[in-house]
Amino acid sequence: MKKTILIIFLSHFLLYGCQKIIEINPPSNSITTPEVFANASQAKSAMAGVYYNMVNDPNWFSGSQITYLSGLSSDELELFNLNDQVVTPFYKNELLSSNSYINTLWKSAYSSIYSCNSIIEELSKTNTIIDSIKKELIAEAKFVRGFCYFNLLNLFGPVPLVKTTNWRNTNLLGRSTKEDVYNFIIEDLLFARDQLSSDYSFSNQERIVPNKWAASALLAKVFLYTNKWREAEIESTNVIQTSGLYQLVDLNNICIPNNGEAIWQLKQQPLQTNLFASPIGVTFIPVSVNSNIAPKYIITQGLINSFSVQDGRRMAWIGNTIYTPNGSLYRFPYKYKTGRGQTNGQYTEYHTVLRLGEQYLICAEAKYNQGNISGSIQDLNKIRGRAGLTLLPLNLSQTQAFDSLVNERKLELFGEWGNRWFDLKRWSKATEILSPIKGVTWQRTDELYPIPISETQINPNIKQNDGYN
Amino acid sequence: MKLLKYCLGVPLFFALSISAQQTTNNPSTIDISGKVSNEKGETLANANVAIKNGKGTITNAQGLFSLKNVPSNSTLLVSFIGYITQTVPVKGQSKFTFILIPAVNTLDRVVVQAYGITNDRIRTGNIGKVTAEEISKQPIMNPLDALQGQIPGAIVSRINGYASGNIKVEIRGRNTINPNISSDPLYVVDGVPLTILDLKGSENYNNGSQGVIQSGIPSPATGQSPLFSINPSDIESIEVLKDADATAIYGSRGSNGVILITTKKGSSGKSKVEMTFYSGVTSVIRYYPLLNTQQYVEMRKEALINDGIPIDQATAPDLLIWDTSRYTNWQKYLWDRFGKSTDANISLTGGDNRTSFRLSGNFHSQSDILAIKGSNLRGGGSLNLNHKSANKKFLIGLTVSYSLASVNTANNPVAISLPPNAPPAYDQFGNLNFSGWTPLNDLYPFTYLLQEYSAKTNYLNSNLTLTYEILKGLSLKTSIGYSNTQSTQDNKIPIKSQDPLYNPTGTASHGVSLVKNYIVEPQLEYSTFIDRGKLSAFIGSSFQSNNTESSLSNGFFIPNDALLSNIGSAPTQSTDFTTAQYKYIALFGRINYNWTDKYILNINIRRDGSSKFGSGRRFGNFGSMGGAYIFSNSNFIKSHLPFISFGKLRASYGTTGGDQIPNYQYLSSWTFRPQQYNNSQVLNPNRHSDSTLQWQVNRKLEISATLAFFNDKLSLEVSWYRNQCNNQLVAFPTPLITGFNQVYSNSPANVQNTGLEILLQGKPFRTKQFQWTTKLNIGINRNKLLSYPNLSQSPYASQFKIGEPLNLSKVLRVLGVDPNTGLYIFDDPNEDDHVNIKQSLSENDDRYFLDRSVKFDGGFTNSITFRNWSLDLFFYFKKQLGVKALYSIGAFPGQIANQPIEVLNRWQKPGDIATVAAFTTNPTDSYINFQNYSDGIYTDASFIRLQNAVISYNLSDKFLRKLGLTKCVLNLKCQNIFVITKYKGADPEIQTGTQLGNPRIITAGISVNF
Repeated sequence: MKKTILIIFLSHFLLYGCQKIIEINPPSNSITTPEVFANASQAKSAMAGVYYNMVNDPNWFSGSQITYLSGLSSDELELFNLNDQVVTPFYKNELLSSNSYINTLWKSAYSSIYSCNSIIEELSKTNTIIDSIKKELIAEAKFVRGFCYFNLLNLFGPVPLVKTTNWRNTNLLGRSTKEDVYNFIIEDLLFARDQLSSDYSFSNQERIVPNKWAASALLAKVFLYTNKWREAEIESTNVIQTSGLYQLVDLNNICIPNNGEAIWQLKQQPLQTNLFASPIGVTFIPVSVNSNIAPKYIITQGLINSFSVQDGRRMAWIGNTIYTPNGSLYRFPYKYKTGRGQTNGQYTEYHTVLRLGEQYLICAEAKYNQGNISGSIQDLNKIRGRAGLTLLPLNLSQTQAFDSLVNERKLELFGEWGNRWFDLKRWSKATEILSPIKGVTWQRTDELYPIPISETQINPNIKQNDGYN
Repeated sequence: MKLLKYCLGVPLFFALSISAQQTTNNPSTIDISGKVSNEKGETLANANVAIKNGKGTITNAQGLFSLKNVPSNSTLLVSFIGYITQTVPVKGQSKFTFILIPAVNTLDRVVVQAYGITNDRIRTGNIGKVTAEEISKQPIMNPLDALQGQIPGAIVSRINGYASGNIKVEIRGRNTINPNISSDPLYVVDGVPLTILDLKGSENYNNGSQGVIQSGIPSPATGQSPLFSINPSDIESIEVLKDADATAIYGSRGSNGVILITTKKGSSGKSKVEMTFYSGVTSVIRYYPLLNTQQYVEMRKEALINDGIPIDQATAPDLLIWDTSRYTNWQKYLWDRFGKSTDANISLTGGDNRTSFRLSGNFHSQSDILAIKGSNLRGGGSLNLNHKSANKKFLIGLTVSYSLASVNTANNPVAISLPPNAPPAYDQFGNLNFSGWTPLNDLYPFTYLLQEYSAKTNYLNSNLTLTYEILKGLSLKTSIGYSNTQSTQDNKIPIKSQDPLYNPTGTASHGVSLVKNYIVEPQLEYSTFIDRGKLSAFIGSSFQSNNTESSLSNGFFIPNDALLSNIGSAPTQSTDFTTAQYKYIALFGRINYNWTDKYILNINIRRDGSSKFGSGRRFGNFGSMGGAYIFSNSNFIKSHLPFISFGKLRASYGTTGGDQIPNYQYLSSWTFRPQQYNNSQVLNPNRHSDSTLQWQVNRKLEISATLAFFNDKLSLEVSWYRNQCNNQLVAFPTPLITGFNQVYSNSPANVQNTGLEILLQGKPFRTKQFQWTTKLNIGINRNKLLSYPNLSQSPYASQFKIGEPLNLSKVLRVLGVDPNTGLYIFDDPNEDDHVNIKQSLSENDDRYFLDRSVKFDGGFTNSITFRNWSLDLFFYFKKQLGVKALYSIGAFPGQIANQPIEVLNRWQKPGDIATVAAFTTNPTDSYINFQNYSDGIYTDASFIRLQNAVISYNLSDKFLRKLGLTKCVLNLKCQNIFVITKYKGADPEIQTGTQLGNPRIITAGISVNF
């Protein structure tokens, strides 16, 4: 009898002690968020994770997706094979909100934003990391966050502004206004410009982490897109002159690692199928030329025709291949020279995000809009000169100057980061230029991509763009 | 906590004190004593000896009993679970020896329940049972296959036809709105929970968990069922616990029901050898009739003409570059072969009154019906030992099972939709024909043919029980269990399996998953008679720990296929190690009071703690109350409805819980990746977290009636239940803007499942020459979302509707094909002449909710034995909707993909009345709406399948004596013989065109005992 009572009580004691018994070890392969930001090396790792995904994940907007998808949506690229159900709607401007690349563009950008938000939030709380590293990392995170929002805004229109990792505060967010998003981007980039170092000391002199000038360069672009001409001119001039770090390089070298023109590059990892090639090289360069393998993305005849015969870029940046089954010549973007399976354990190129050439064009457009046509032409001539073209006279009329500007941006920046697609839209020229090319499938509402269907399904407060379900 | 102590402790003390008071004298009474044993002479402890309508007692460890003051004219009832109750008049006798005979009818046979045994007569909960005999009829490899159609309310479905593949089990409907939680019940094998933690977050409602493959290597069968390692022939019975009364004692893990697997035990007596062997073939049951080349070419040309597209090498490479005189039926190319199935078992049982044992060994091999490869092997052994001390007070039982399973198979190439004139898979040199497929190389699916997948799984399950009788009726029992599952998987992608154009290199992956479960459960049991009723009570505690870990090594850029087995030689390597731990602690108890087999009350209580939740939220209380009233003992029934031999009404209500979510969901964390950027190791955030996670609670109510007719020859059990699940653990969908698409959290959704289960079984005719056994069962479940506060502002606004089932699709109603345009037309309820598909509910939407839940399923078994022959037929039926097989591939009729022959009934010119829209290569909204948002892709996928047929012949005694055998049976066992269905695809159960269907298995075998 007594034994029984004893046992019953014993069991009860065991249960009181059981809070201890059911403690489990923290997961072995991961660390909790506060632990990540308890020391500098791990905090750096968190930021490294952001860059890593941006360049290596084939489903990230910042790999090659934004470049080839918006190239198709505008007048740069067409498809060899129209049977691909995911990519073809971009080319025909007949997107559905269920398109899987729409989903990856959106998802990847917000995924990077999440990491940046977490880095910014957690570093602001921690007091075990020295201030200089904290500042650097927060500035990098703000830079990347701004970069993501800039692309989201130009692809999808005004998007929700997510500034925290707390899902309870963000899961029902609606869209912000275009102005608010731009203001937020500018705020982030100004912070980054003021806090980041003016050299590449944080990345062992490799240009693979954004510095002060990268922030200025992106700011210049943002100011240009928001018609803040003076600010755009100042920032681009800072990159071109004040920095003293950059110069235009040979046309064939604009993507090689740490070249003089590169402001910010992403360094890709060798992957199974891509070896050491950059994501753009893998996307555009056919595995073998003059064979029965066709390039997937082909430069449109319209773009080819825009290059004059003397233009060095036509030789340097456009690849040719004859498709043996029908003997036709196809052309593909060739700014990157190394494609799938073509390197032997060597980095020949990095994924170039910001380069000096674009800054000259930004500066030119900013000057033009402030009435400084001759200054504008001088900048354009820097680009033309490198391409081996004759220099334009400084006394062009306003229309001539603008047309030269439009044309130069088209030729210099084709196949890079959706520049053409974004330019057509911000100049309100999309319908004028694309409607004759695309025919009946073009509608004004095609300027914006649809919000992914999964978002509108689960967030009742986010409105779909016009023209989409 | 204090309350619990009170609840458990007080009745126990109360019971103890009453039992001591029963001594009064009566002159017309005598004192009796005696012994209870079975037909083998084994004494039975804890057997009931009761005076009819009077007091009773139980036997002690030696099977002895004594009762004082027994009226000399009274009648004694002697009973023990699993034996026929004996009714013996006292007639002044004072010494008794009762020898009980095992029961054969379904009402009295042993049914295993949580921490004990019961039978259908006295149980207060709902427990379904599948016996060893029923399992042995089916030539199956995974014991879960034997459950299909046998237990009303338990829907068992195969995800694919791979022998090792997952099997989805859902008991009494879908409980949660969470699509990322499987419906799997808790499996307990010989007292040891078979828990595998989901390391890679790959578990989901439709496909269940990845089972023992946790390394992240994709297995062709989308996982491996943990029960694949268990030999069906070693199983004595499988019990399915369904209602609160049966499952509440499993507390936090009982919400999806519990499946108890009990292996065969030793038995005393002459040593007996049992050998069974069968061998046979597996094959495909049916194919999906698709277009031949001529029809395909016609379709393609018509589509291009309809689209106004010129037919040239760019638009129709499949017609102009590929040879249109070729024809291959790709389904037959991949699946048309006979596989083999072989099974051998041998067991030895024996022992004496104090020690008994069973030793067995087994082997099973079965090939998948993929034409290239697919072999599944399993070999194993098991040992059971039972020993009693000389005074029979101390019992020890040990069960150890071990098996080694090997799976060697390949991914099933998605070939069903290939154009029928596609070039051969191999070129003339026997290499993969990549170049021959130009320019449509993207379609080439046969790289899998040369990629190898193999998995080897070791499984050990052991359980030791120690029981000591402290006093009569009071015993202390401890059950200690350990199970260990180790699986290694190898996946090789050789150079020769890849397109040489891309200068490929080889990749090899090696994964190890290790699952260890420990459980220690000390229990104290007490039983006694109080007045005329028997009280049984027990209290126990459970300490469990589960460790699941996996490691994965990948080798990349391997320049030579000969080096694929040596990942260490790879120029680039990566490794990944994942581990998760789950700990669990509980205190539980049960009180059962049975008043003269007329009124029975059963109470279960459990307090549980689980490590899945953050501190402060780990413990929960669960409990149930069940009662039964056996009305057939009343005089009214006996005199007016004498054909009713047994009648019982029972009801139960209680709560169980669920913690079926991945570990650490309450923690926010990051994971290191093997790569670097800017000389820093890469870290990525893992997920959203919710620090307030806690138990999910299921409330289960059941009312049931059991009737038996004609001396228990036939019994009928009808059960109605209503389960409600709230505070649900869900993967709450979060918009991608938050950073991740979900977070594990408690949802306010309340989901209700109500249903009716009918089970009719028995042996209506039983003579020496002729026997007929029959079993019919049907389970009907209706599921609905009962409530969801503020549903319209939730992520489920467009997905669920209050009052409607969870398995909903929101679809347009297809009205047919417009005779003028050849396009699909849809119902337009809002009559605005426009098809509206709006994701937000507040706007006009032309879609309606289509319920895709299984309407009912069941089984019908008949066994007839005539002299030495016997025939068993088991039909499985299921009423359900399904997706038309080819829509799972997603091509439109007219594009470069084959189609079923039904598409020939298409629209061609204005005025045509057709069921299929005009062929096109360029689908417009109407086509896209049809495939993505309409009911046109759903079809009736109900079926009746002759799941099992067995013909067997028992050798006559005369022969047996000559051969020195005690039993010899020759049999022909067949599985999945035919399917009756309107469904057009290959298998109405596995509704995709890409997966293997269930194979037909036909075997011949022999079973010998001596």
